[in-house]
Amino acid sequence: MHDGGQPIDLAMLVEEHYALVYRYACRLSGSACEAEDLTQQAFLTAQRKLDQLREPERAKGWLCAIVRNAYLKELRDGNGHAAVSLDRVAEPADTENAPIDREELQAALNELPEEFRTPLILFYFEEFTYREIAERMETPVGTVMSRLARAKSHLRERLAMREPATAELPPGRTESA
Amino acid sequence: MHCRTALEYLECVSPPAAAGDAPRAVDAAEPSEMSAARAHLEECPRCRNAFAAIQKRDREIAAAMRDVFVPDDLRDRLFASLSIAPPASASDDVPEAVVEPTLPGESTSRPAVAAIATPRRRRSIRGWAAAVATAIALCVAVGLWWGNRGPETFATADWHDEAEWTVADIGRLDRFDENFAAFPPAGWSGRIEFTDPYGIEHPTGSARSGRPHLAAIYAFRLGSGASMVSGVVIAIPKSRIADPPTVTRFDPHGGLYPSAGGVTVVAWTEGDLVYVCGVRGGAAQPERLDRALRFDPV
Repeated sequence: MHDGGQPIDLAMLVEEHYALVYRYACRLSGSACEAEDLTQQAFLTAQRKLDQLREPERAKGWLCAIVRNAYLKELRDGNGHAAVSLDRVAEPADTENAPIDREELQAALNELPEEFRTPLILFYFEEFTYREIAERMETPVGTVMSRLARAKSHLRERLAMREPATAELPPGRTESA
Repeated sequence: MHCRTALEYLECVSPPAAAGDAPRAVDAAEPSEMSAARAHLEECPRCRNAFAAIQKRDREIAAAMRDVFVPDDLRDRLFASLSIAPPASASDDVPEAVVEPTLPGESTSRPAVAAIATPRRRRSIRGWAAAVATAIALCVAVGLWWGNRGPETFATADWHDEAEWTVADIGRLDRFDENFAAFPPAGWSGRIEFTDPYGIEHPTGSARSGRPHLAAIYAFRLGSGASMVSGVVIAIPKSRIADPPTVTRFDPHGGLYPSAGGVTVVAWTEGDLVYVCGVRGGAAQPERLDRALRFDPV
């Protein structure tokens, strides 16, 4: 039950957010099949924990956090992606860009370590601010900024199909990938 | 401001939904830093062009990112798996019915339920009396059983999920109602920073129904920055745990359970309480906590 005293309706929660949750799960896992499982798991968990959601306006972030937790469990069970190192990142990509191929986009996402992929997806979905991403990932905002900058750079570089012109990160903003 | 720094801050501006829309500033950078970055943009044509290109590419990536086909029958299958009906507004003309699960690939279009007017039999007075008597007898039996049964108990493992979950969402819980004596583990106070206790009625986290809290939950933190160890510790009366751990102190070796959801769980029994502790991070974090509790350097 949330602060307004009215119970949050699970059916409405599903109705309003299932497509977003599925899309997010799909981009996170890179698999439609896994995305369906994650979506179903997320709403089953939401059903059990519904009383912990007190503010309906936070439902989206709450559900995405559940999806991410479920996905991290999957990763630990050995279903993880091979991730590239982002210790060195590209300079801003060439401005002349080819149209984006959806499969290539997903392949580029799959290459990223999860802690870079998650904020990137949330950012491009335009559903979350940096602070919300930081809150959901339990990570300082500065770390989210840094990871996003590197992940965006990787993505642009990868989609621009050009050889990375690598450069060291500025001092104080490095972190292990 | 340096070109690269300015562009880094400007990365905090989320892509406009469409060409021509104003970029949506988000709240990552301090306003002063963002203002300085924007000022730099005004005076540096190279960065201005670079930023415009970044925005254009971001817009394209955002559109591609959201372009995920959602299966037509996903919604119906979700409602079926949850055993709930879609919201009334979405099914105004559909008779209320239990949603049957369907297999992948199976058609989810259900035949319309015909409103069959079944003839209602008139129940005789004798029949009513018998039904009422049966109902009363049943209520008495259930009442006696309910009154005699002991308090519900749970397995220690039932609390693992709660420890994992609460690490992220403790703020959503109510304050502990203090219906039993709960306190942080012995030796933790003074060394470790705690919140006031929160309370929960059930290990699944469900049913905020006004029942007394079954467990008290403390969020804790030790140290700061990269060396910080944090998590939650749940205190449950031993009488409510069917299999209290034999370990009698926080022991990262003796009471460790497999890490889940980025949280490592350690459980032990101390006096009349069972503690289930969820520590953020892998198995190394409980080790650090243990060292701190032994007054070794973290």
